[in-house]
Amino acid sequence: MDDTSRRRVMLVDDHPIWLDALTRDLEAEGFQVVAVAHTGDECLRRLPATHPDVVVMDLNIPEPDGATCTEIIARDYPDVNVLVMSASGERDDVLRAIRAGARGYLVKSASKAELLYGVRRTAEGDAVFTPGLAGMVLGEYRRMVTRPEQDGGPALTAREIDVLRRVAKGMAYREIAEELYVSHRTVQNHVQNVLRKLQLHNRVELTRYAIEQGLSDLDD
Amino acid sequence: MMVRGEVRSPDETDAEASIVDAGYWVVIWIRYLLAAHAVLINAFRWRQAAHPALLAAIMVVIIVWSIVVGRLQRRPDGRSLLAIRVDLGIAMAVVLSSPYVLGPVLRTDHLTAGVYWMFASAISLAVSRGFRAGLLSGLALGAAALLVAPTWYLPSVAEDLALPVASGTIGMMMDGLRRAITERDIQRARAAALAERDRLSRIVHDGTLQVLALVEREGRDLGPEGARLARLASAQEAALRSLLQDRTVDIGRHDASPTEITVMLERHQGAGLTVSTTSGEIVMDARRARELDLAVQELITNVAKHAGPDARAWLLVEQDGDEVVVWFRDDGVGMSEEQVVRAREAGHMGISGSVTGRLEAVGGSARLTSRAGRGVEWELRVPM
Repeated sequence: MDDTSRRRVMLVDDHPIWLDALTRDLEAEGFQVVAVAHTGDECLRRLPATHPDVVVMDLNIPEPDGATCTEIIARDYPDVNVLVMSASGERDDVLRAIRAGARGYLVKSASKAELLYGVRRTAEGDAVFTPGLAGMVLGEYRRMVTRPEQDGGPALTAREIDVLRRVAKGMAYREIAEELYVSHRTVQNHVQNVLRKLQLHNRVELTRYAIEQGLSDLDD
Repeated sequence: MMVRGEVRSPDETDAEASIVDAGYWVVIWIRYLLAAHAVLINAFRWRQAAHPALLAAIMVVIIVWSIVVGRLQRRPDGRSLLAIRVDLGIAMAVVLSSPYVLGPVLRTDHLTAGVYWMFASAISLAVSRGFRAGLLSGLALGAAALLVAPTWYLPSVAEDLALPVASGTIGMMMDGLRRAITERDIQRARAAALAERDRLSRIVHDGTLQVLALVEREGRDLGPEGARLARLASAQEAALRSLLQDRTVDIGRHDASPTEITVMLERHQGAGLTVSTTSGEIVMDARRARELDLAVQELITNVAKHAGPDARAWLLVEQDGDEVVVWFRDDGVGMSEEQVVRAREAGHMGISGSVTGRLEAVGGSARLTSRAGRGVEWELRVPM
């Protein structure tokens, strides 16, 4: 999928000042802001009609919240990629959105360059890992290892943990690639795999939960 | 004797106070009963006493002082150290005067002029000041009663031994109750503080935090003045965010309680430093946390001084077994291999020595790696 074909963006935020600033910056870079939504409800209503490629999602929006919207989008519109933005960086909310299928996470104070880079990568289906997110995901895997009942999803390889830790230490993919003597693309793949495995864990957990609750049709 | 000067410790809670009040109520009635018993016993042997007039005076003292103490102890400001000293003094005086006042009678019935009345002093001390005070005052009064009895009559020895055991036990129970109540009150205060913080957090999040983030983002493109505003906004945004995420509540009672190190380190987040954590919470020893925090502070200052004007830094906190690991990295000018060797050999001189020394003093370690043009990386390890 090439860079120019996926430029339709939807913005979800309940702060008009943010919507204006983001719209201005994205349109200056050639993105097309096809829809804005101020609430989760609005987001889910406008999504099917406007066909965005990327949804830039604030986590703290009126019901349903950003993480829940991300869950629904990932389930019902798999070709729409979600990039999460949040002012507070509440660990649990961010992780819930990421596990549900968001491609990445930026704090709101991220620079314009970081935002544009993030939206571009998200549009292409790549993972957008900030140091903060890499740290959270690393911690999440560590927790899953210490809770055996959660075992069931795939574990991270030593190399993936190594790459993730370097991202968390603020190293750019280029620097990581140089230090590990691999290509930039290989680093990107490792990061991508980490995200994919985390989301797989989520699905394993959801399925197990469904089975335990007796709600699941096993043939499904 | 473990007695505290003030009437009521300033951090005593309402629940604690009501338990103490209940304890005093029991003690006051025990004192009345023991006083009535002592007066009755003394009345029966009044005629055989060596000095009946003095014994009558002691009986009056027992009655009057019991009533006075009963009135005093009903209210918290009557439970002062002075009242306790006078109470113990009177009880002791009654016991010690027995050989002279009672004479040969003491030899036959082995009961001092106080009979069991003086036990009330020890029990009341156990209620107000706990186990140690109760046990020690009980032992003192018991020993005095034993010493004045001229013969070692076994049942009376047993009675005198029972006194410290009883007052010590009551003191221990009071200590336990106080602890349980304090813990419960702390939990309640913590829950209330967190609920209030959540409420504030929602308000701040919807207003202040959004604007700070916007200033930080837009300011960078508005020239040097704008960049300055952006830096200020960034520092405040980070401080506010870590404040809102801070789940520790300072109740002001446990100064050396374990510290949440991630929140502590997140306060350093700012324009030049990105702080990332792997776990939600890492709770560690307060002293070691403080040293680690100070070491990080030194590294931040060092980056500002030596890494170059545009250097940025990243910090990652991890928990590795029972150790806290902090990775601190900057993308500044770095150090040549020679400089790294020199920094390591400098011992307790310079930044390396100061950070290493600080952490080694609390059982941790610090390791430095660097390459010219590639910044400096520190690995700090401290036991939890």
